[in-house]
Amino acid sequence: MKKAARILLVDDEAPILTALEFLLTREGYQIEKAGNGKVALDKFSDFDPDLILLDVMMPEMNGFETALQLRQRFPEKDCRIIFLTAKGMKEDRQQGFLSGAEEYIIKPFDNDELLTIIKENLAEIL
Amino acid sequence: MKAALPYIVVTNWMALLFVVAHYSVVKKRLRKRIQKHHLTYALSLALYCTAWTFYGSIGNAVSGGWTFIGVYLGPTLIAPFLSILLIKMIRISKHLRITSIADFLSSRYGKSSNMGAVVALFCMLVVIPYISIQLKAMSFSTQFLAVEGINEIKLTHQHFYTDPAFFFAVAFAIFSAVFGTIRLDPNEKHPGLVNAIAFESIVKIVAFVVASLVIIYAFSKEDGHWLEAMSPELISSINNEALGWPKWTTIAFLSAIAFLLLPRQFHIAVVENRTEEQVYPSTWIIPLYLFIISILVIPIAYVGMSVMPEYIDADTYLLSLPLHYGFLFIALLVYLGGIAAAGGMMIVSLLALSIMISNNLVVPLILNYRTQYDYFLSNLNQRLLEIRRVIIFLVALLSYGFYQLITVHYSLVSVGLISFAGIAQLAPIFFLGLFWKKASRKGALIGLTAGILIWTYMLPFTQLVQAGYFSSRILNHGPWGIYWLSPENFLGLGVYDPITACTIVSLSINTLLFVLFSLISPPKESEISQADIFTSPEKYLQFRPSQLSPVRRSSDFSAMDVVLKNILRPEQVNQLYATYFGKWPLTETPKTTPSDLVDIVENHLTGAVGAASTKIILRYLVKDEPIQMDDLINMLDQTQKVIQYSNELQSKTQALDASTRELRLANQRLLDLDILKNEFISNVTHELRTPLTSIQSLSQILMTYPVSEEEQERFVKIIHDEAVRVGQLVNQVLDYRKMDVIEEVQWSRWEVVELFNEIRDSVTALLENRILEFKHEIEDIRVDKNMLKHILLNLVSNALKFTDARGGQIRVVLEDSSTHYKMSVADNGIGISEEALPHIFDRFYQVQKAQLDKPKGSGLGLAICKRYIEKMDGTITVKSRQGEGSTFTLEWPKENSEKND
Repeated sequence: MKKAARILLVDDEAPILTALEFLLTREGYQIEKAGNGKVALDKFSDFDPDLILLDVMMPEMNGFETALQLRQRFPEKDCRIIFLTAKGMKEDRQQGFLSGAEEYIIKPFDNDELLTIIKENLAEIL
Repeated sequence: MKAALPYIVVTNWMALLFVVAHYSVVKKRLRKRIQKHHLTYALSLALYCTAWTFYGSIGNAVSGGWTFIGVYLGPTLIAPFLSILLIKMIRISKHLRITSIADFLSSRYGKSSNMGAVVALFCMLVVIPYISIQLKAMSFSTQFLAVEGINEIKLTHQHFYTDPAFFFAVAFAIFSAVFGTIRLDPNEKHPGLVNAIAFESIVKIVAFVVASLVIIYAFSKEDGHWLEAMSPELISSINNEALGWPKWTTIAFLSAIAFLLLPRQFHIAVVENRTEEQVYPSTWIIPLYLFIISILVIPIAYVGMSVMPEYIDADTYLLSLPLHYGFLFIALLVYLGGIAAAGGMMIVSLLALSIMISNNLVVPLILNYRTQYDYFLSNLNQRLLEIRRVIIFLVALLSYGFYQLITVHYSLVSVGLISFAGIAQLAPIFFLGLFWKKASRKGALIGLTAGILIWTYMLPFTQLVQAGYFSSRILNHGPWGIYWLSPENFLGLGVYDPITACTIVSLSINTLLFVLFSLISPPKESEISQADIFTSPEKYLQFRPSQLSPVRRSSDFSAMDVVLKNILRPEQVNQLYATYFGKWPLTETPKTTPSDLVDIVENHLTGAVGAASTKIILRYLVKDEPIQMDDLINMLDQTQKVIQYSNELQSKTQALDASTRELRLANQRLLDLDILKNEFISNVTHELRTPLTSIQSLSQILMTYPVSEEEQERFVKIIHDEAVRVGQLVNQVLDYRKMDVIEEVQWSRWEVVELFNEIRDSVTALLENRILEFKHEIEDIRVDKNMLKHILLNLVSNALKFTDARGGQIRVVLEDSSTHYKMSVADNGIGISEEALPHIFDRFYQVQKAQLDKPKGSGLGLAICKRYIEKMDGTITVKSRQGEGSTFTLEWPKENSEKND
């Protein structure tokens, strides 16, 4: 049996984490949650995720900063970074890709679309 | 000639009854008028008065004094509640297509076929003796008129072919079979039959009243004291020694239950009911009907005791007194009234029993043999009618047999009361089942069984012992010599009469075990949804039971078609298809039946064969999904929850729509404003999208995934909270926007008390156990009232949010200084961290809260406060320490500053 892909969820909004957790667990993924960028960085090496769903506006460390740090600290690691944020301006998008993310999804999202994007991204690395 | 008279009368009567019933079936317009007439329903309910009340009450009054009145008092006392109770029963039954009391109870307790079978069987045991006393009354009255001397009447040891009782049993069985099983009606409505019953009720009361008046008139004319028939001496002449309140109240209590729960009463009151409006007039017609009969009983009893020799049975006074005074015609009228009373009871009882026995006993039994499916389903309609006819005749003959063996030895009243005490065993599970959701099937079965056993032991068994079928040792010494176990002295209650003792013991133990076992073994998932329909039917009335069902069932179309055509007429089936598919016939007949069409078929089928049998039939038909019975029920249960939950979602979506509309409006205005630039819009949209994200994702999850009940609750709660958050944000955006267009501050003087009261009123609902105090040093202030009120509300709401619901304290204090007003709002809540403190008046700044689960605010509230107070040339400051609460202080000048002049 193939091992379940691991996904790290980073968001400071508990309700959104609740929804994502339910959705992704149902789809058979292994899940870990983090409430902000700092926690995400701490958990990164232990959990060793295949993919990160990253919010931008968070206390302690925002998502852009988090992505940059991840790419700097773990340049070898093949991990997909997907921004999942309510910030929808053009500039935000650009900054998101500049900080090293593969995808930029604007909230609110459609569950099925999100799942498809995740699946496609995982297919490229696994 | 005289000997043949009653036979001629009764034959003509039967013929007339057939004509009435037939005519009202054939003449559609007439039938509709009669059916709709509220009097028809109320009169058919007077079916309650059988030969027992017609003849037996007088006998009862002579021997038992006032106890006879209990039989009339019971229904009279519950009549005012019919509009609530009966209508609830009718609504539930129509919704679930319930056709008998056995069906009702089986549906209530998780569509349990065991429950249905037990109730049906028990009802048969209770009703057969009851029918037998009707046969006795009819047979006796017939012979009484036919033979010269009372001594020559012999009820026993007759050949059945010369026995009038046998003739009546067969005749009324035929009537019941003809008008009760003409065709299969899924709703079990029988207009002809009901009209005939209403007609009989009229004959009954007319005969009783006319005969009574004639008797009283003849008596007073002969003895010369007309008034005495109504005087107090008359009442005291009645045997008062027998009057004991326990028996009297017991009978009233039992009668009230019997009025609703006897199979024939349930059938007429619930199954044959057309509209709910019919119920209201019966709340006064029934008591009136019973009152008229009951006030005439005493005078007749008195006259009978005065003029008739002692060997004449008081049960016959109504018949023998007119003969005594030489009014043969009146005697014949009374005779007819008696036949009407007894016959009506027989006809409906036979029909009601046949429906419940066929649907709850015979059909499930047949269907349990898989080989019988095809035969049975191939001509469902015909099979079912055949079964019912057989049952009708079987029950009629059993009643005749019972009459020959047992009833001839007893008075009408004693047998009738035993039946009443029997049917009362259904009362706990019936009435508690209507109001107590936690009543479980296991509890109900145990309680009912115990009640039935005790009743059997204390009443019918005792009767059998007394009739000599068993040794009477058990009565005198009790089983194993334990006297307090003797049926006559069970649990030491021998001091009461048998009916009272049995009622007390059996119903107490019945109710106790029922409640106890319902608590010990609460209803299963599968029962709860059914229970919910019964305890709160209003929630479900607009839905078909399986409308929103998540269950996907399909079946072979032709098989379904066969079943449908068996229970409905061809044109009804075509009509149904046309409604369902949009047109009919279709160019291509579908191969499979869609899920929701299966639901419709199920609904019709339930009406025809009852809930329990339908389940079995569908299990067979819906082949491609071999559903276990329990799975099926489980899935149906979920349906009910989905209905509830989708209602909630719907209302939330509406709230959201409304918010969105407001927001659009607000956005439009925002765009016009110069001061609110991109940053603001970006922030607002970010703050809006965040809660909308959870709302969208979670509601989508709820629509696509099967989720557990806990998850469901949690998700709906989050959706609700986040929707509220969106609403708040929208309001505050509007407020923020409003501020910018306010040109001038509206200064005026206001009473402080008034302002504080308004604040208090606005937040009272949210206070819970928090303490909110107001203090002020001066009585009135100069202020822009709307602005200050807005600021205060905002500060107090924040304080509420961050204090504990228990022990939270909020103080609002107004102080006076020489130049300024100083108002502070202090709380003992969680406080604000040092890092956060400098930013809290910034737009969209949000303090991280301890409980992340709670929705956040919009981040605009304090920013608005700051802008308002600045408009008033004032300041707002904050002091706080984490864990020790916060104090916000407002200061603004007392006098107009120069620029406002």
